[in-house]
Amino acid sequence: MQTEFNIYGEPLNSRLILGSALYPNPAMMQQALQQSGCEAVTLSLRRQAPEQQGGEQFWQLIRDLKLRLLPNTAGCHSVQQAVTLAQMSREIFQTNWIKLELIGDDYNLQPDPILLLQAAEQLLADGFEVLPYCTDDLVLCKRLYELGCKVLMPWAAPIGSGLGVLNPYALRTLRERLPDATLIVDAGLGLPSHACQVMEMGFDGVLLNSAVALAKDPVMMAQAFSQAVSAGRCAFLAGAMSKQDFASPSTPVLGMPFWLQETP
Amino acid sequence: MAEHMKIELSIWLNGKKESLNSSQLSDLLPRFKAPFAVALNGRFIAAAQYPNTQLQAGDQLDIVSPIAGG
Repeated sequence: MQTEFNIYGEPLNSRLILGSALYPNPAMMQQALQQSGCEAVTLSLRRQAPEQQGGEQFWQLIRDLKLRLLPNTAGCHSVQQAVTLAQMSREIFQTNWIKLELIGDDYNLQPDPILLLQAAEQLLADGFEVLPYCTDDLVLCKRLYELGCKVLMPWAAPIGSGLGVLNPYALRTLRERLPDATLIVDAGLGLPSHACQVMEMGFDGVLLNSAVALAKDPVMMAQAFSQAVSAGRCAFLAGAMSKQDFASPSTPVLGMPFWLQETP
Repeated sequence: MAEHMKIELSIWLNGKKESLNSSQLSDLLPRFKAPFAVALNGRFIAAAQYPNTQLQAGDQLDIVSPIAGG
């Protein structure tokens, strides 16, 4: 019904991508992912501590879900770190997809645009299908797209903030100026209405984690986001009415009772 | 003096100092559970290269596994 969505040619039925972190427990994560209908999930790599058993359980749960895996390079501060983590991810997860994160500021986790371009170039040359987590800067996004990043993932607001769309002008501009790019809003959404808002703008998808995982009921919130993403997509395809600064009655005026043509 | 040569090698393993008695990367790996991936001094080491990889004093070895992420 809602036209095809794909990531580097891989078709996905859901335009919602969820993260796997911060859930109250693994079972809740599994349920939320299932109930959302999402077909791709983000995850990461960290140093293995042999004495900790939780990692194996997580990996087993994720594998059981049979979702497409989107590994990230969260926490990387240099091109070399990001490239190495991407290469390790590709070996473990057997996917060319990489959510490229290169942090330029530790306070708001803002992506470093300069290093992002350098890392994206190296990874694309190495055969990766790069999904850069970026700011909503038009020129940065244009450069990333020109490099060969077919999918761009601009933020709506800082990671984990739940603030929603801070700069709707910038996001609308990205959509208008990069009509052929697959644009997925990643980070900063807090409510289903935020997701619906960007889908109404014509974004291709939404990636989020905290808004679902930190809800009082993550499973129900996952469903809510799923519906919001669908609603927003339908609204975009349906085409919204034009705004106007004056009222316009929706009920016909003609035939209104109690009205006389002349004063009695 | 036909004393057996005992290798003692100090490296950084996942950020902690560790003394090894073998310089072969492959000798170190059985203690880790699959799946894992390896980086040596910040560079990726593909699984196919494990048998050919020698460790040196002061090397930084990272062995990573899947975790949750956003």
